Amino acid sequence: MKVKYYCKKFIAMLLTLLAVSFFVFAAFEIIPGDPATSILGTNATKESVQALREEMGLNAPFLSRYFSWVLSCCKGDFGISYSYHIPVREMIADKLPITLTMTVLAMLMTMIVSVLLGVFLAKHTRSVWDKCGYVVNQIAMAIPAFFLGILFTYLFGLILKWFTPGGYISYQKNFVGFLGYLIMPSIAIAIPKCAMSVKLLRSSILTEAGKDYVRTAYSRGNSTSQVLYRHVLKNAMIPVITFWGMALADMSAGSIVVEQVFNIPGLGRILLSSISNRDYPVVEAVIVLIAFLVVITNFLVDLLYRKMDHRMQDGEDLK
Amino acid sequence: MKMSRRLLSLILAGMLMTTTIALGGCAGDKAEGTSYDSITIGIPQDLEDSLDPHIVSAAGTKEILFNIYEGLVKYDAQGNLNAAIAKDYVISEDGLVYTFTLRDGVKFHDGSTVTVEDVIYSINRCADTSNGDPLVPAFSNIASVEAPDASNVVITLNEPDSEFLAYMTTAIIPASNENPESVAIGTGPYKYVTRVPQESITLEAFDEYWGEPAHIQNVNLKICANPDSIVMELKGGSIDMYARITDSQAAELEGSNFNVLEGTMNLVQALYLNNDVAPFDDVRVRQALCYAINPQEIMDFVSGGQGTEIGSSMFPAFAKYYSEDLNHVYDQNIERAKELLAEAGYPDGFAFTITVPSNYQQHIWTAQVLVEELKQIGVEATIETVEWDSWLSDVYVDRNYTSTVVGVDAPQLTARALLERFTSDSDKNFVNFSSAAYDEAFANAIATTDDAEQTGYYEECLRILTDEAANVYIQDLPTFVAINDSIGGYEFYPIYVQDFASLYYIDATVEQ
Repeated sequence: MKVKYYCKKFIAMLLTLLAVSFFVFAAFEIIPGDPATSILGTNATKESVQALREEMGLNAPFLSRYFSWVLSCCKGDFGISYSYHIPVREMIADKLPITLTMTVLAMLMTMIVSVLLGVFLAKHTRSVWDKCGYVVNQIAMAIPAFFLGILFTYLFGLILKWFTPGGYISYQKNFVGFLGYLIMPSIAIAIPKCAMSVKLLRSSILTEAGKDYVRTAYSRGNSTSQVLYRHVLKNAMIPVITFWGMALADMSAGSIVVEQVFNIPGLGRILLSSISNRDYPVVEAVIVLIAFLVVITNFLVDLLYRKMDHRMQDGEDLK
Repeated sequence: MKMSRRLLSLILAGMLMTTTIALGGCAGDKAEGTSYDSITIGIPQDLEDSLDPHIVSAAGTKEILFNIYEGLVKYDAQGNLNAAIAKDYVISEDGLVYTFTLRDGVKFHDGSTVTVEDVIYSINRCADTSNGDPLVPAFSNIASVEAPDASNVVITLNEPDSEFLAYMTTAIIPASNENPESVAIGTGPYKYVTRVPQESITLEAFDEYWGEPAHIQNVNLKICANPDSIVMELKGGSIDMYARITDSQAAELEGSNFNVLEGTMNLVQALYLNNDVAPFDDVRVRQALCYAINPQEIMDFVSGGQGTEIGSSMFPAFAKYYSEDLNHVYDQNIERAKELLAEAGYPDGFAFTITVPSNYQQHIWTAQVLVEELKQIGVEATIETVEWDSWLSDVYVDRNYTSTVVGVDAPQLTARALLERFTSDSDKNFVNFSSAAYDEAFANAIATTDDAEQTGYYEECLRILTDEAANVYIQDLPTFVAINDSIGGYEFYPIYVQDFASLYYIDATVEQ
């Protein structure tokens, strides 16, 4: 049964990636501008654009171009960037660690802080803490990450001078400095997600706490913290983990905007610049990669469920 | 005249945003341990088109490659053509034969010596017509390129061309380089070392440079993709210099440890009109637009009153051709503009669209002022901002537009570089200007070998562009360079380049 389930998942994943890449390909068919014009710039004339398109193989029919791209991707060849004339794989291998580190940092912060705060607030319902927490939480949820980024740059960068705005340090040169620069952007990404999971966890704990099995647990002589940590939290975490899965995917895509604010040359910067240069191979690869990250995160979350909730059967999809 | 409140508030909001991010007045002391052998220069975009000097088209890439590549001759900051890879050249009496003598032992960055074969290869590469027009259009005039011996190259032309020498600035690259688009090998004062896409480009002074070596050993070009954070990065000390800041950014740098130098961009900013599309196919309508606008007002608004008014397709750095008289052909005259519109059959005005590339803030601001000014004669203009790439394909190549605000520059310091595009059959005539008189004057200018006569013909061309109101000419934009006050030697060129080799640390020279 297990094998069948994984096969199903794997095929669904492939189909998703195919669909995404096809839509990106199709989008570039529709929007004006093409790589040949972009490369030629103001030297462009109708003839020179045609000649270059021919040379770049852009005059082949849409579907044949798409399938040859898919084929070479299967062989692990993502093509050569039109702008940089280096293999796309190299370019992405260079940039992925930046975006990934930022996302992982933000995710870790979200997980640690939200569990601590969520449990604390659930334990102290109707206290002053809970009320203050509620207000702060509402605000933190409402502020988008990029705006927090601007705020942080101003406050911590220019007034308090905790970090140099725009002073990104490449990870190949100085890994510690690199991590240091990524802390602020990671916090900016983490805060809204953190606020949402705190709210979710708090209410989820409170819902669970009203269930019958909690009363049973108490009646068997467990203390409040024993009940909370051994029984309630385990069940209360299930919806939170679903949310984290979505949040992780959202973060890796959302970091694109925050990268701009903090002037971090990660995947987002590459994606934006290659869209405006019509550097198709790069755009395709980055978007398929992001789609892949989203799909794989969902898959991992699914697995995690199975571990946490034994009522779930193999082969059953959780929605 | 009143600006619309919406426009004003928009701009105020924009300024507020930038100041919020940028102010904070940190003194930005240069980090300790900074040596005199390196400088970090912010650039607005990566070198995204190519490193191949013959293919490259983006002005932002060309201005950097100026430091890496050289031609047989090379411009200096005064706009003079000086011998570079060639130590000397002789032009025959009839203006048809150019003989260049190569300088001894000029080295490419890979250590090999420049040979006549490399020169012939480079020139032939740019003259090649197998893909349509040659890479350098003026090279279609070349009859032959030969090397009679190991140090002389003889170029024979079909027709005399008094401006041909300017095209000999075309980069000489080694024939052995198979990937010039990604491996940059030239002979310039700086050599290309490495790059990280969208992050940085590293240049290093070339030890074996034939001329005066660069003062600063390492140049790091840092890509500053977010224009709002430039002032912050300057003040924070992560970049030492940024070449094209706006006047509001310049104002924010007052009192900091940065000098702000002012120069001109050397381009022709205009409301370019598609002369084939109604109502701009009527010269009276075009003239009415010229009468309706006031370039000074635009300059006040867009560039803090800096900038230079222009009246035709020529900017002031070309002192030889630039004439202030043409600025006054259409001094603002609303009544006259309305009359012309009525004569042309538009007594109540009309509506049209101005397409502006979204990556050029100055052009967008200019268009916004134009919209307000044109309201006075009952003309309703709407601004449509498009991506640079869409602009290139829709406006520039397909000519599918009504009007656009952009700046047109000259890759060579020749009148031809600016004026050839307005001949009726030019591939680059994106405004579809068509005038038999213009074509004739231009052909005469190219054909003549007499300098005074040629200047006369070019002036005639400029006069026709003004009289026919081919476009609504506005200004040559000012440019501001922010540079750390410990660095000197920055020079403005009359062409669109950045010369890094002339930069030096002031303290470093005092110590020596």
